[in-house]
Amino acid sequence: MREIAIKKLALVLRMLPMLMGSLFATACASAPPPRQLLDARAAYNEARLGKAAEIAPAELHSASESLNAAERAYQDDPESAETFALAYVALRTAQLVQVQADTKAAKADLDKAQRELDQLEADEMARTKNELSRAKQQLSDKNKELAVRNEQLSAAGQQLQTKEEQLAEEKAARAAAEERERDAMRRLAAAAALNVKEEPRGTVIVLPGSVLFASGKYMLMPEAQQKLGLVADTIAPQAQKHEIVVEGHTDSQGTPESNQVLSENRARAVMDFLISRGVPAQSITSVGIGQMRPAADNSSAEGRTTNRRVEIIVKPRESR
Amino acid sequence: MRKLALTTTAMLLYMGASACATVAPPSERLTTAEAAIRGAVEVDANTVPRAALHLKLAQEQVDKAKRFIEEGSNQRADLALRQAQADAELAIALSKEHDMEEKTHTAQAKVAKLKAGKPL
Repeated sequence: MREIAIKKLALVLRMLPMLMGSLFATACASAPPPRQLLDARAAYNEARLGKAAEIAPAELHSASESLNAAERAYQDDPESAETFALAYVALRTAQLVQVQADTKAAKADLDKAQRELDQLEADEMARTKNELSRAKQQLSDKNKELAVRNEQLSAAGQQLQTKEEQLAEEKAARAAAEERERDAMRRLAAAAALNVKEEPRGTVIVLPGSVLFASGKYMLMPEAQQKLGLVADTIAPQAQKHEIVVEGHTDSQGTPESNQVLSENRARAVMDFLISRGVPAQSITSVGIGQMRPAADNSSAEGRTTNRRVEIIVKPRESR
Repeated sequence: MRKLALTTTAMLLYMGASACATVAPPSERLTTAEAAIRGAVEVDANTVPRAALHLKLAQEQVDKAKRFIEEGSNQRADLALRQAQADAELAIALSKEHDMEEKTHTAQAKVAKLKAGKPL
């Protein structure tokens, strides 16, 4: 009996701290929880019900352990410094979980934005490359076109230069020919004692009527044939490039009609002679002017002598 | 009877030891808390208002813990350092969150600009 009593006492003594702790806890737990613990519970619950459970489970577990430690301390002694401290730590740990979860969410958003950005930049790069490629192609085409145009321009320039050289040569040749003609005319004037003058209508060789024909006649006199021979020798070489017109003129003695006929006949006689002396027939024509274009006053004998004349006009053929 | 006497003696010794126990200064926890504060400063926690607040709280708890250690209240120092550690870690996390949000906003703004056809 005595031994049983001793065993019961030993059991009671071993359980004493536990019983005392339980009594303490029960007594103390009735006190209201400190604000930090309430805040920690709320923060933990918010984290648990929010995205933290999904994206930060490890951190949430740490917060749970921290809160449990605070709860145990509160159960042990609601007003102890340890309870306050552990509740404070639990609150911060729960807040930390929320922040870490938010950070992970932000990181996920960043990754998503970065992927989108990479894709957009890749698209933009591809678009830019395409545009650049098109621009290069256009530039290449333009350069080719420009090269062709340059070649054409160069060829045209070459042609122009050639033409200019030809024109210069032709001009020089023409000037030389004209000079030769003038020289021939000067020699003719000197040799035949004829009046040769330059007028807008061409080079005009004036043959006095008294030298060529007897009065009222249109048969050439022998002396006239000599002078006209010199004229023919001078103008025949130029005839292909010139038009030659033989004009007959009279004074105002007699009727205009008879003077017209006489002037026509005299012009024709001179033309026929020149043709017979080598002037091409297709280069020469004759015309009678009659008394219509006097060169001097018909009231004096001297003036009338001047008016009786044949004019040979040599003018360059107009280029077609 | 002898067993009862031994148990009673052991209990008395345990109670005596508990009453007179001296907790060693929490040097390791102090080191850890100070390292966490340095970490918070390194991530520029003092430039982010919410993070700066917790950094300040952490520093205050460390200062308080040092005073407790000087006074020989090592247990209270240990509790203060736990709080300091929690605040410093929260300051770091807040600073990193701020940094991450800024980067995210910047990237999202670039995306919006590109989608609107504007150059970056």
